[in-house]
Amino acid sequence: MKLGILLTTSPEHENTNTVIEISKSAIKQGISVSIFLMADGTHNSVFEPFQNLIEHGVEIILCAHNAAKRKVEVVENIVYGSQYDLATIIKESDRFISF
Amino acid sequence: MTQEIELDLTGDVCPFTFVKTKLQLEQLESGDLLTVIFDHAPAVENVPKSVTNEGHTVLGIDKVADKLWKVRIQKA
Repeated sequence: MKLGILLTTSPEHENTNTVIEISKSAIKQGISVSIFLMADGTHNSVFEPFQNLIEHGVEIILCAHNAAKRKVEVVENIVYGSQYDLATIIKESDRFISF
Repeated sequence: MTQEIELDLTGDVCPFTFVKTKLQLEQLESGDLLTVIFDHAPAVENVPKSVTNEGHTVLGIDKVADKLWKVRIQKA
């Protein structure tokens, strides 16, 4: 089973912690998780508690255009993608939630 | 006969760079060549990746000037 998540708010918002906890629980149950970061959500890519999800096996893709506009620093292990990648995640996910 | 056309997408940013490339490709025949011109750096990485995912072939990515790229695509 695959869970897709869209996160558009920055780390100060409670959504980030919600996404972190949902992702960890899903991974524990053997569900694969892909997260797409866009708009202010791209700031999560440099937020360490969020970055740690990568070690749990979560796939993280962000909108390169939005990140560049916000001068977000490039981070390893995060795919710099586009809306095409978001569309692919939506298409391939069994469930999709957005924040 | 193989057709080769050029699509100038300077000034366009994601996601329109991919959308307009895809719409143009849909109007071509299999084997036709499309050269797309970008001045948006993220698009130079993402559009080739996306069209490859769709089964087309990226023949080359050339930086022709500062902040100007040409991507050659062959339709599947």
